[in-house]
Amino acid sequence: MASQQTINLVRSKASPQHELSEIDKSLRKSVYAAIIVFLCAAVITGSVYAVLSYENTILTSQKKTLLERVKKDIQLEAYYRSIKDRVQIVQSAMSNKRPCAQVLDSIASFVSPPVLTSINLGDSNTISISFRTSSLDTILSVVTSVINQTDQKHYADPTLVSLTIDKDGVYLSTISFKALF
Amino acid sequence: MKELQVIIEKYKESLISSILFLLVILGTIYGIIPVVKTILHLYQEVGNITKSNKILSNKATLLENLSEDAYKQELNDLIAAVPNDKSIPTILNTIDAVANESRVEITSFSLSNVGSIASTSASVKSSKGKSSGSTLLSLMVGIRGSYENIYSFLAKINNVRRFFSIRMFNIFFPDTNTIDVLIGMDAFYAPLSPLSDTTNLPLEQLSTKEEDLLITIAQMPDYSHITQGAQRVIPSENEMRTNPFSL
Repeated sequence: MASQQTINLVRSKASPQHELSEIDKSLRKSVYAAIIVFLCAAVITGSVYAVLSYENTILTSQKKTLLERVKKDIQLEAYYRSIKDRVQIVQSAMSNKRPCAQVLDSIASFVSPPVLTSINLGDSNTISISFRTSSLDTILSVVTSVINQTDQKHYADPTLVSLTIDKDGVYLSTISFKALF
Repeated sequence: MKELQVIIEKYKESLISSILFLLVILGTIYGIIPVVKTILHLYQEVGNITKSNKILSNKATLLENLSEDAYKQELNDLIAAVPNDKSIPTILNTIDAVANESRVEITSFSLSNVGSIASTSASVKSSKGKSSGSTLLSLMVGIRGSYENIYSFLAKINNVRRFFSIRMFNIFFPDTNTIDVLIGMDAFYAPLSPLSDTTNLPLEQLSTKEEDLLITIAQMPDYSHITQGAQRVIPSENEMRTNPFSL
């Protein structure tokens, strides 16, 4: 009787002991990796902390010294800051001044007393001048001068407010314009 | 007991690995993470202190190069130009002195809205005052003199250290040499801003424009503290007037 020879192609099942050993091995590898990462992180963070802490101590001490230097001149700082604040106000106040003498000079360049009877400076830099003359040429000359000043951007908005002639044949005229200070 | 020993023996390695893993996690949670947080905080603090030190260092250097007396004087000059309060005596002194220098007679003087009982911070600024950052005190001055003297008054009043702005004027030229002029002016004033703790705030250097303004102000004549009569031109007998405002 021929003996039956069989080949078992099915892989024999690994023993639970072997499986456990594999898990242990991979777990150990992971733990080693974790420990290495942890130690590296600890060394890096520790070093950074030490450096920053040292820097912080030095800077704090520097700050203390600087504060002492600044506090020594606290009165001077108060003056300086007040000057900085005040300068802005004074600058604005200065720009709000109206150089009236310049206006008078400018008017005097084309009309003067006794022809000129009044000069009136009002709000919004409006100036009105009144003059009396028996010559129409004088009126034309004044009007031309005001227009010239307007062309030169010294005045704006020139207006002939009134022009009358009295019984003696004397012209009374008022011209207004805005002075561009 | 024997069974437990067997189990421990069997899972010993896994157990050790697990405990180590747990320790790494705990170490990370209770060690690394708090240190990282502290580092971030420290980093921020170091940045702030560095910035603050830079400001303080610049400020200390700037202040060390300044003269307290010079800046006190410059502040006084600025306050003379635009005082902290209405400072009516300085208005009167200045107008009186300018009138005296220009040889014009003061025929009338009136101040409007002087009597505010509120503090300066409670007073409302006019539109012009708002634009200049200061409050305005309106006044009307009547002056009498020759055209040249009135011209001199108008020119000088714009160039004195107590700041005025001429709001309006009416000049009538009569047949005589003497002219009466009514001038509406505004006197500027602004309270000093309260000083808070500015230790850690930067201090900017005065610009050239600001330095120039200080020089201009310093060069302007200051009549605000001249006592009446101190620089008065004594009029001749025929120039004597009974008006208390006159020269």
